[in-house]
Amino acid sequence: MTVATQSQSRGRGYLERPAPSSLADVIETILDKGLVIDAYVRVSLVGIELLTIDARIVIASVDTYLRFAEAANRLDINETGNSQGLPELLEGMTESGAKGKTSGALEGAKDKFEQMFGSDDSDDDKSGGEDGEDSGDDSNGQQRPRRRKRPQPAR
Amino acid sequence: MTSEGRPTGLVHVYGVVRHPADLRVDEAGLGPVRDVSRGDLAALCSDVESEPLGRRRELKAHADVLAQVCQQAVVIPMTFGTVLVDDDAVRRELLERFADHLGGELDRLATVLQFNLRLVPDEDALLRDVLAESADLRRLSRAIQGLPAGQGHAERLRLGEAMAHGFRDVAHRLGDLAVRTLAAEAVDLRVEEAGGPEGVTRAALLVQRSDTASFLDAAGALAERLSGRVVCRLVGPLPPFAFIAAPEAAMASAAAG
Repeated sequence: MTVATQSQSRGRGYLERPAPSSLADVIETILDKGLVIDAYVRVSLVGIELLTIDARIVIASVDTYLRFAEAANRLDINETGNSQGLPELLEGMTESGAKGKTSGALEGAKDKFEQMFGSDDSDDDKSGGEDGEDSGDDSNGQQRPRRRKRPQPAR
Repeated sequence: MTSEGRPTGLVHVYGVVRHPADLRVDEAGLGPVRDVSRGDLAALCSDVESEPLGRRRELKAHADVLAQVCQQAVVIPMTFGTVLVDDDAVRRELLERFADHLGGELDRLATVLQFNLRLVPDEDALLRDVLAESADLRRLSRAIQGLPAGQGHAERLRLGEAMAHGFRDVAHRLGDLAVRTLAAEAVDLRVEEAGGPEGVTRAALLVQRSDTASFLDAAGALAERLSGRVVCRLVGPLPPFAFIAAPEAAMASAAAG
């Protein structure tokens, strides 16, 4: 979708910058976005191509659980493919994020951000340990964002 | 002009710019792109050659034209499917009726561009993190491996469910920090999806035009940092699609005629 993306430089090689962008990118960009006025003739939309956006795989299914259980057995954490541990990664990003430029307008951004991710870090959401009343051994003191309020898929 | 059917006489509007504007639009559009002006506003339009609208090519054309225009001028994008009966209706029902709102939005958004960020996690990498963080799950996994084939279905499900929860939790934490990091380079943002079912996070970020280079550097650094765990995709620059205010009273009084 973008035109002038040729002038990339400075170690942005890891960043995917599609040009032209995919239909999914376009749909994400324009669907239900932009100025809406009430006085125009609404031309009916072809439905088929828009359906792609709803084709989401719900992760909480028996098949997924079995696949993830298999993955747990397959992934040898000793030959870790992750070059850096998660706690170090998250820690480093927190620091670099805090160093960013701040302007008055950013407050608006922060508010919206916190509505979505939650700013209150009370850790009431156990992850990874359904069975774990006693699974406190791995707590790393990392702030854990609260799960968002959007409806979760049924188990 | 790729005429697919009889002309409908209808006019599709991409967006509104200040008039006069010196624009060069090479993108194909839904048809040749022209402007319809009134006062100091101009609507960028194409004739609608066939109905209904909504095919892949047309969706892309709408986005492509606006993406090109936003690099040359401040533009208020219309939602896809904004079609009026003729040029005169574009002047009256859009440019005249919403003149104050359009002018206000053009001023408010004069110095910014939108970028769309999409973070797609690598399943194995995040599951490794989940295991690394939980001794319980490692124990459970090893216990299951020791079982004879065909046994331990319930345990497998329990492990898999916990892994799935852990996956989403890690995806959510990474998405949280990624968006937080880039928010420091932005003036506004909309989080469209935060660690969704597949762990995907999507956000639209509003960036000062003058800060574009440093924003892209920050995004590049973020992508490098997350590489191996998360693929970062950035689409833009775009017009501020996700940040357009709805016109207030005009919506209520549907005096369309």
